Amino acid sequence: MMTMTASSADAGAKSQTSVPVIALEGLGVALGGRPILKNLRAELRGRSIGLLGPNGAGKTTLIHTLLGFHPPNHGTARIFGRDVRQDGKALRATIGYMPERDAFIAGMSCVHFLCQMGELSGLPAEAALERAHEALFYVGLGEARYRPLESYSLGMKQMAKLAQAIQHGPQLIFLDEPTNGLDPAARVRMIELIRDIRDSGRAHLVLSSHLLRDVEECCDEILILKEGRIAVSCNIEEERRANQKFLLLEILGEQAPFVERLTALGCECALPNARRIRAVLPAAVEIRDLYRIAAAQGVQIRRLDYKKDSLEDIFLQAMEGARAEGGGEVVHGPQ
Amino acid sequence: MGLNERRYVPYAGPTTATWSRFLVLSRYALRDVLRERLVVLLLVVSGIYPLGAALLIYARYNLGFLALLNIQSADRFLPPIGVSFFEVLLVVQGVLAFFLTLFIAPPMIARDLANNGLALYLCRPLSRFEYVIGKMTALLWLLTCTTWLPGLLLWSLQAGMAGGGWGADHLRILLGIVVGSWLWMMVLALLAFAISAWVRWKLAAKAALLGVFFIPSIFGNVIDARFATHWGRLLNLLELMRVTCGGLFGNYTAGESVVAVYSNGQAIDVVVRDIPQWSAWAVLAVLCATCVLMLSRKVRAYEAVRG
Repeated sequence: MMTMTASSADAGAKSQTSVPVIALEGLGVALGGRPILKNLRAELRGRSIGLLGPNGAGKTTLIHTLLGFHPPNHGTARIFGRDVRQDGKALRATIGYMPERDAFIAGMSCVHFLCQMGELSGLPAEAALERAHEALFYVGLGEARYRPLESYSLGMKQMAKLAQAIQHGPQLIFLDEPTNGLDPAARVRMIELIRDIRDSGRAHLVLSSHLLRDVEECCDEILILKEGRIAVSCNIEEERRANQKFLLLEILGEQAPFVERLTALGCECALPNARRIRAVLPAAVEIRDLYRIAAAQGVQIRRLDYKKDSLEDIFLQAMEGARAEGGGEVVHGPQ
Repeated sequence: MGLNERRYVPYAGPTTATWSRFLVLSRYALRDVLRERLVVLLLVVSGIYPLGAALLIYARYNLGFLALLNIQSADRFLPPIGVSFFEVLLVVQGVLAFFLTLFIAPPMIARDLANNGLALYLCRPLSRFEYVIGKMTALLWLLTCTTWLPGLLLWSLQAGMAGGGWGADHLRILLGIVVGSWLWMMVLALLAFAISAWVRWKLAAKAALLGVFFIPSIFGNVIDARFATHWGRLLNLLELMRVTCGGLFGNYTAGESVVAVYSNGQAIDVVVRDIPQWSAWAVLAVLCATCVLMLSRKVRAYEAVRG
């Protein structure tokens, strides 16, 4: 039965750095006659990709489509350059999936469950058994591995789902709401595991969540979906670097003339309230210029922060529809 | 991902052939099924009749054994080994196969669907077809041990002991045993799986399977009695199998019978023809196609809700 030799996941991951992890080309999916995903276009290359969006945005449908559960109505989706429709079966050998919903095979112990899943992924029986034990110890279920799955708590089931997703050493792992139903300690453990997998550099991750904190802690690239369309697709680190000249000022004194002088210098200003000013400085403007103007205007600068757009800001702006309105146009990062 | 290092390390060893993965499902399903005492008991019971039949065949051709039992003439005291002998064997084993299916098949599929397990299977290099075939193979293995395998062994025993070209002269019996058994096995497996996939609860699936076998046959009898016809037999699965297997054994002809019909208090005799073989085959084909359609609708990683 051992007829093929698997390329190591490491080698696979390295060889695929030139092609996007996921490429969506006008992808549209309708379920039950209702369009769920609409003309998605994006290229995702991150080591760990966060899939964000409110409930019903189409995150899970996108994952299911990439797994081949739902056929695209139009457009294509590629994983590592291979069409999910044409090469679906071969692709699924390199993918791990942790479903959102409670999912298990009843009537067997966790270690046997993992054994079966490993063998179905192509591991020989002995290797599957060995990897099942390892995976269960890795996720912290080592002591409970001979217990029937039905007897597991929700948190333990989440860990078991993670174990079955990583057991066969996939190159791409889809994690659909992995921290659902976890207590704070278990959530921290889950996030640690996800980060450990990411930092190993051996697998790409797609983390779907509506918890911004989870995504912020684990992901370097995000795709925000809204009503089946891409609202934002950006690299979080690049966005943070690009926003180094974004300032939040808190002043005491007349706001209007101060803002007028700043605008005259070429700064873009927004006024959240009477004391605060959000300003984007042109490259030529230094901080001391601001203090000079403030002194001239008799305004006190009580607080000055370099403000980076947090994921929450990016997400909220996307949800407010300030960006990416009008079809499947992708907006890269905040304006 | 070593036990001690607790780090994520991908798997880099050899993998099995893609085509063989569905057999993993069969192996695990068989292991689960054979843990049930009732199933093991049924399997043992299903061996009793073939064992008796084997003894009978042996006795017929063993003069010493016949003398021991003080039987002067085997033809007089023992039933003949021919078409009817094997037909009865197939009916008995077929009924046992039905009960075996009733206990084995529903948990195989219903449990996976009820616990959203299909997404875990289908996110791997396994198609929906392979999933069903994998599970079905486990069931068919057990039904094989109950139906055509004992039939084949008995036919071989009889052919060997009778000698004189008995085997060559009775190849039609072999055809009836093998094809008839496979037909019955496929009908049982498809019906049980389709119902289990639809119902998703093993107890309800068992009840529904029993209902599908017996309730339509009651309606069929009512139709036959009301309209003085035999077409109602098309609703009786056992009758359909009797007709098709009879045809395979070359032992079925659609004859005529007289039925008394009461009209205005008067009994009138009406000549009614038996159902033709083609109609039984057609109904079984439609039934199997419907089951395949039901399975293709329900065996999915996730169901899309219309609306």
